[in-house]
Amino acid sequence: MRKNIWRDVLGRWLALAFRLYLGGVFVYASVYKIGYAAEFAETIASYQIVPALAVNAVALVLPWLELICGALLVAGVRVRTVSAMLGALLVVFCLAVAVNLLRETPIDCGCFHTLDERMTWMTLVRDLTWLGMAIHVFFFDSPLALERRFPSTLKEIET
Amino acid sequence: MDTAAGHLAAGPDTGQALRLELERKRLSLRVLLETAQELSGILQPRKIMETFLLTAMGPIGAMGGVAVLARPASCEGMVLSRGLPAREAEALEQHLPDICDAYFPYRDLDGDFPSSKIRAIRRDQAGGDSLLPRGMDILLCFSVDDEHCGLLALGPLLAGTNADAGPDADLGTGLDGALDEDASNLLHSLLHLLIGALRGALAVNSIRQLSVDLGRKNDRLTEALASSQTVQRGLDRRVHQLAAINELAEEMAHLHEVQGILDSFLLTMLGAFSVSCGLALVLDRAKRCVDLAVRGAPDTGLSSYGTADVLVYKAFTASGARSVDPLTVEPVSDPATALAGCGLPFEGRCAMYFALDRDVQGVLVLGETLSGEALEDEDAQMLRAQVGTLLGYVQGARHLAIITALNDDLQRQNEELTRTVTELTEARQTIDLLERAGERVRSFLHAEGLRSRRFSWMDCGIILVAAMLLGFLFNLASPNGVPLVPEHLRRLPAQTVTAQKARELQQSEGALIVDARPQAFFDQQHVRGAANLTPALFDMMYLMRFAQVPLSTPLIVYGGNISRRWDEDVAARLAAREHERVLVLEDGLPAWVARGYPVEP
Repeated sequence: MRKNIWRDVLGRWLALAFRLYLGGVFVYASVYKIGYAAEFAETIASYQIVPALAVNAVALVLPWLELICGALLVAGVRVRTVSAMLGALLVVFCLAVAVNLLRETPIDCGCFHTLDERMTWMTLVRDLTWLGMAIHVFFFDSPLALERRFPSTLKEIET
Repeated sequence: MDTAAGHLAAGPDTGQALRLELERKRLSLRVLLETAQELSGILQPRKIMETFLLTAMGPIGAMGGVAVLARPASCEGMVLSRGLPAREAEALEQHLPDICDAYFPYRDLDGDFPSSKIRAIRRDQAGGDSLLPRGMDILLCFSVDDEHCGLLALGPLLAGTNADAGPDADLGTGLDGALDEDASNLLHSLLHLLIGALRGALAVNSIRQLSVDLGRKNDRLTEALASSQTVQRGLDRRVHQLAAINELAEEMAHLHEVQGILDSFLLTMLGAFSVSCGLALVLDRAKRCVDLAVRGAPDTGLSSYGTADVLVYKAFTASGARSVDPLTVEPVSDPATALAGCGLPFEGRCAMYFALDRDVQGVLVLGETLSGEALEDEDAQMLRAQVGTLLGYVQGARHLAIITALNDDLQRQNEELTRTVTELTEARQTIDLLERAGERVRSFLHAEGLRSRRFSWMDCGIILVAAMLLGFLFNLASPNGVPLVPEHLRRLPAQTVTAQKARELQQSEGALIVDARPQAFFDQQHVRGAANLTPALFDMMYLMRFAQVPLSTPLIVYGGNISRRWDEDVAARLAAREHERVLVLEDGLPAWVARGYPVEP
C-alpha cells in the first residue's frame, strides 16, 4: 500500500507537476519570441547553426511550436506526443548550446528574452533537467488530463 | 225384234200373237220407263226401295213384297214390306241379322261380292226359309256395291197374272219358276234399275256424308286455328315478358343501388305486364330508410318512413304470410281493399308483399292493365317469380354495399398500416443512423482514447503544420514582421577582397577595416584597428565614427557567418552612404587569422 502510494507520487503526480511546469515554461518562453520575431531571428543567427535561408522561418515557427506544445501539455492533450516533441526540441537546444559553448561563442542563451544572461554550462544543465522532466512525463501517465475524459465518457456511452 | 219378224212371217195367228207380244213388250217397256222416271230424282235409298216395291209389285202381279237393303259386314240395313200385316213387317225388321245370315252368305268373303249380279233363289234353297212370309216365292238377291246387298221377295202372285203367265210358262227357262220369261226379264230389268238407282243414291249419300264430314272437319279446323291463335297470342305475351325480364336481368346485373334496381324493375314489370301505373317500395327497418319507385302516378309521400311502414304492414297482414321469413314473396289478396287508405296514388289491382329478412321488407303494387283486364293466374305466378328475382338482386345490392363498406374500411386500415409501417421503417432507419453514428462516436472516442496514450507521428505533423501556419500568418499580420528571405540575397553581392589584398590595402592606402558582427563578437576578437559597425546600430555608430571618414577611403567589411551576412548588409549600407570603395573580406575573420595578420585582443 505504501509502496503503491510512493509509486503514485513519484509516477503520476510527479509527472503532473513536471507537465504543468514544463508546459508553463514553454508557453512563457514563446510569448516574447512571438512578439519580437526579428530579435529572435538575430539570436538564432548568433548560434551560427541554422542556414541563412532558414533563419527567419525558424524564428517564425519555433515560438508557435513552443506555445502549442506547452499549452497542450498543460491541458493534458496528446501528452505523450507533445512531451516527445518537447524532448526533441530540448535535445536540439542542448546540442546547440553545447556546440556554442565548445566554440566559446560569446552569445546569450536567448531562451526567454533577447537580452538574457550569458550562456554558460549551467544553461546546458538546465536544459538537460528539462529534458529529463519531458522524459518522465513521456513515460508516466498523469492525472487531470483533458483527454482522460474520453475513456470515462466512452464507458458511460457503452453502459 | 228378230223374234217379232219371225212371228210376222208365221201367219195371222202368228200376227195376233205377235201383236200381243208387242203389246206386252210395250207394256214392259212402259213399266220400265215409268219405274225409271219414278226412281230418278230420289236420293234416299228407303224411298227408292219403297217406290220400287210399289212399282214392281203391280207389273209382276204380286200381292206382297219385301225389300231388304243391308250391309252384310255390319248386319245393318232396312227392311221394307208391302201387303204384309203390320206384325209380320215388324217381325221382319227385327229379324234383319238373321236374314243377312241366311241370304247374304258372301259377307265373310272380303270384296268377293258378285258385282251387280242377280241371283234367283228358290225357297227351298234358302236356309232362312221360315224368315219370310209364306207365299213369297220369288226371291232375288243382288249386290249394290262392295258393301251393300239387297233382297227382293215378292208373292204371292195374283191368279190373273199367273193365268197370263200360264201360256208363257213353256216359253223358256225363266229365272224364277214362278214367273214367266217376260215377267222375269221385266223383274230383272226393274232390279237393274233399282240397283242403278240405289247405287246413285248411295253414292250421292256417301258424297253428301263426305261433304258433311268435310264441313264438320273444316269447322273443327277453324276452331283449332282460332285456339292456336289464342295460344300464339299468349305465347307472344310470354315471349315479350320473358324478353323484358331477360333485359331486366342484364340491366340489373350492373346496378348496385337498391333505388336503381327498383326503378328498373318497376319499369320492366309495367312494360311486361302492360300495366299503366305501379309502385315498388323497400323498407329498411334497421336503417329506417325507404327506397321507393313510382311509375305512372304522382308520388304521394310514401317515401316517408311512417307511411311506408303502414303500407308494408297492411300488405303483410293481407298476404298469406304467417311470419316474416327470409326471402318471402306472397301475393296480397284483394289489394284494392287491403291497401286502401295507405296513400296509394292509384288503385292497386295486383300486389306482392316480399321480405328479404326481418328488417328489410317491401311491397310491389301494380295498377290497372292497359287492356282493363285483370292479370291472369299465370301472369301473377310470373310476377311472383320476378319479385323473387328482385329480392335476389336487392339482397345482392345490399351485400355489395356491405362488402364495399368493409372493403373501404379495410383499405383505410391498410393505408394506416402502410403509413405506420413507413413510419416504423423511417424510425428504424433513423435508429440505424443513430446507432451507426453512436458506433462511430464510440470508435472515435475509443481511438482517441488510445491515441492519447500513444506517440503519434501524425500528431507531430499536425502540430508542426499548425505552428507553421500560425507563425507565417501572424508574421504577415504583425507590424514587427520579418522577411522570410534574407535581404542580402536580393542585392548584388558586394565586391570582395582576399585577406592578403585587404592587408595590403590597409597598409598602403590606409583602408579602414569594419567589423560588422555584434559587439560581443567584436569584443571577443577582431582585426586590429577595425571599427565595430553592426547593422542593428548602424546609423548611430556611423555618425559617431565614420562621418569624418573621406568617401574615397577603402572600407573592408567582414563578419558573415552561416546564418547571417552582416558584412554584406553593412557593405550595402556604406555604399548607400556613397563610399566609393566598399569591399567585403573573403571568408571573413578566420581567413585573416589564418594568414597570421594581427588581431586584438
